[in-house]
Amino acid sequence: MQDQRRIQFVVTSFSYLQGLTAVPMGLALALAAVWANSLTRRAGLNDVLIISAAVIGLMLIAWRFSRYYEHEFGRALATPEARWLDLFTSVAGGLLALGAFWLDVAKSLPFSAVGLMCALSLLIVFLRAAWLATGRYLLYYPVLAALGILISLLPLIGLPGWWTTLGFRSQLLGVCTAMGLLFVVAGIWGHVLLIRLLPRAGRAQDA
Amino acid sequence: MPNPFEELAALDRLVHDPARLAILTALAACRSADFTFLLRLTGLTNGNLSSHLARLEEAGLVQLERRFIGKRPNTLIQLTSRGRATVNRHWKVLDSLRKSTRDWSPDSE
Repeated sequence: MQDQRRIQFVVTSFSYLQGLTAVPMGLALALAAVWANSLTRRAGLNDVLIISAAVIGLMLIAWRFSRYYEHEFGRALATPEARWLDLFTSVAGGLLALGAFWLDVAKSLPFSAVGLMCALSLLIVFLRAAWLATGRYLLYYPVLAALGILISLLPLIGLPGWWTTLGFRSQLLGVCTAMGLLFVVAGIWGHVLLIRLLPRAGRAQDA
Repeated sequence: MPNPFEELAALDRLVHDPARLAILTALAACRSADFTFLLRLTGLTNGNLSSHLARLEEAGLVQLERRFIGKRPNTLIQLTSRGRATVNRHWKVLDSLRKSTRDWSPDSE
């Protein structure tokens, strides 16, 4: 008999398991931070056009991946309850991320607010899955969130200016690159999990 | 009063069949799902899934909507309110049976 929790998990977290769509997003964040870090002068129109084209290209790749998932794995539309939860967390997360970005740019903090927000978003994905079905398949999310929190708090725990060692001009740029890479790891992991949970081969069974 | 094993034997076979229970459980966790998704989730063949869905539709537990997305046919499946109530009740019965079989002993008859 199919495991009830496994089925509920796959159905309710289906969009979060389509990990390849998150890979270009993470790469876009990391790429934008590395690009901003590489600028030795004020960005000109050409610079902005090039990075915008790269980010738009990555978004198009994310869209292609979502089409691939639809073709290979089909569709499962979330319940109104889950949709409201996602809408609320997206809007609240977006507003908090803007506030965190402002804090990091305007204030000289001994931690990264943007990094903490990214870590929180990873933790929310895990809590959402645990609330709607089970969190046992997404245990790597709290691990990645803990890593994000650790990176965000490095100056507080004895590594002030860690970003300069890695060649970044500011904490924000270093943290954005690291968080982008964490999203890439989460995405690839999610994809592998989806493949394992929904194997392709069909098996014969009496009707 | 029947013992838990007699109750287990009296479960509704239409719902309790492993493939159909998997389909109904999946549909209870979402608003609707398409044929491809259920195929991947259950690991059934096209023919078997179609046959199970036809039985569930006949019993009024699911509703099928056949449509086209572009040029590709796509079947969207959702639980009816009766289907949702049935699968929820079935899982409650299974949970309570699991508890009562754990506590059951021949002396408790």
